[in-house]
Amino acid sequence: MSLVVGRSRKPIDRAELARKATLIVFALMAVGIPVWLVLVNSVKPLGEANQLGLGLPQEWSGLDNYSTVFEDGKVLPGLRNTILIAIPTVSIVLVLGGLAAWVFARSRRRSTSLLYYLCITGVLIPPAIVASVQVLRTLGVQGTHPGIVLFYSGAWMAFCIFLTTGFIKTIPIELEEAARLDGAGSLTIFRRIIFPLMLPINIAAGFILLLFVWNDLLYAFFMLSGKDNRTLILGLYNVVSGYQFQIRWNLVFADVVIVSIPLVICFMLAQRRIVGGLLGSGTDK
Amino acid sequence: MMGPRRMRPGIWLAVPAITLVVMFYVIPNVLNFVLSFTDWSSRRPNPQFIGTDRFEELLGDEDVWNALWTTLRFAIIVMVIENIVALSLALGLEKSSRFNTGMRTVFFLPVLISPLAAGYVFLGILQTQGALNGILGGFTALVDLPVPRIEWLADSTWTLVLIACIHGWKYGGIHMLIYIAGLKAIPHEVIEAARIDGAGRWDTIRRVKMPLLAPAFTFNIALTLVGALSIFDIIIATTRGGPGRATEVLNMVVFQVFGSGRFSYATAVSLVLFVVILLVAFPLIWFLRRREVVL
Repeated sequence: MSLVVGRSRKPIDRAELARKATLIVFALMAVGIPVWLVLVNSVKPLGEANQLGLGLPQEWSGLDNYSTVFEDGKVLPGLRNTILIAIPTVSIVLVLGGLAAWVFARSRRRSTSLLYYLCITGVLIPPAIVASVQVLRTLGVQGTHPGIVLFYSGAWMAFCIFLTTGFIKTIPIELEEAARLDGAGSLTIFRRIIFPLMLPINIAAGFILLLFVWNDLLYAFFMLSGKDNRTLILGLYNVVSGYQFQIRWNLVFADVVIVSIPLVICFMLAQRRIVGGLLGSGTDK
Repeated sequence: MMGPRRMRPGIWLAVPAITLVVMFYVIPNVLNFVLSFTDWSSRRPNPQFIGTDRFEELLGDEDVWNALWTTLRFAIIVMVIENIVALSLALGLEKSSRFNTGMRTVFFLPVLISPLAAGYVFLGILQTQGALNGILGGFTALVDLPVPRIEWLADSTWTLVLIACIHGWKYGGIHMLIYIAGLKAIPHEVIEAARIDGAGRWDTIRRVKMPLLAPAFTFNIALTLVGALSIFDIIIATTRGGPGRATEVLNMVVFQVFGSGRFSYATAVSLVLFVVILLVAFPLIWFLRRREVVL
């Protein structure tokens, strides 16, 4: 008996070891090297960084690089603009999208389900950029923060409604029925019961929305005008495209670090909830 | 007198969201179609209808056809690479152990980085004097050969594949999570039953898990296709469409045409992309509907 156990255990352990080793090697190559390349070269002086080596810097110029990028890349105004666009967009989409998702989750009418499909089309079919610019121009908000917030909200509402409708269906309807019998109105029920219960999915959805807004280049290109309105990513683009002949890699990588750090911190803070929220409602039944 | 209907939230609660969707998503998509029949440009800011001129222009425009072909090829390459990598990772990281959760985070990290930044990082890696040739140089030095000077981003065929790999690097983590969610949804008894029936590890994957993963497959395949069809940032950061026009995709053409002030023609070109995405997306919407029934 013990012989059999001994035999069947060893190969399993070896397979387990091989699995872990393969994953670690792959992670080091695919994620480790690129991340290290960026970090280490962002603290090298120009000449050294432009060799794009993986070795430690012979001379440190981290402070210089980062302070140069803060100036040239207009990091602080960029951060301000990104936040001023991201926070209203994420709030609008989560609150209004949550309300709509609640209606869709609880309704059994045909007409409502048609509206639901209209609202989630945007998950797959991207917005029409050029015509959106024209719509924003007609409303007098093209090129401004409110304009792009409205555009993002309309374009990414689909994603939020798609993600949250299924989640709301898992909230027992009895909770709200009881509240209704106590005389609570719909908005009160949403504010006091449904929206708080949506917290797990809203953390995941809100983070993905934040990713979309934070990292967007294409729509920001079309819909933000003037240097003063530029987001962090537009700042990065302008820094790099400013180099006519030779890219200054130490500065590019420093800017990449600056642009990415806030999202990485946000993710680390809520990592389990974000991944959990996505795993809970990605495609599982 | 409480009817069952009054127990449900009224449709008016959805009106604000629907209004935003209609105003800033539906109307632009319809308007895009309408504008492509006009002469709207930087010189004619007030669009007049001119019929199908722009579409005739489109038919004869080799750049657009080249871009369409490039975009389609790119989407298929991305779909294959991204799904193979994401599925392999998901199968390797399926169980929720400490090691696996940590690894999932590592592979999810690139999802956080902006595609533009990811493009710049890989430009630094793939340049002729970049990190990859440098690393290879470490190996060639062992046999007394000089550092290779492979021009990774100068080949008219393989550059597209390399950009697909960057795309996979950036977005693979999302699809890995979707596959993991799909694997977790498979009832444990089914796997157990297969094992009792004598199925090995590989047989279980091929005969049991794969068929039951069908929803995740459909979802991921459609998402990778649609995502890759609308690629822009990574190409702007790396090749800007080159070498020659080898990586010039439809969104690049739309961007350039719009930049040159030919607005209505830009809408016509973007309609080509719209139609392609529609052809990919419709089967998926149908699939999602079916899933709703199961729910």
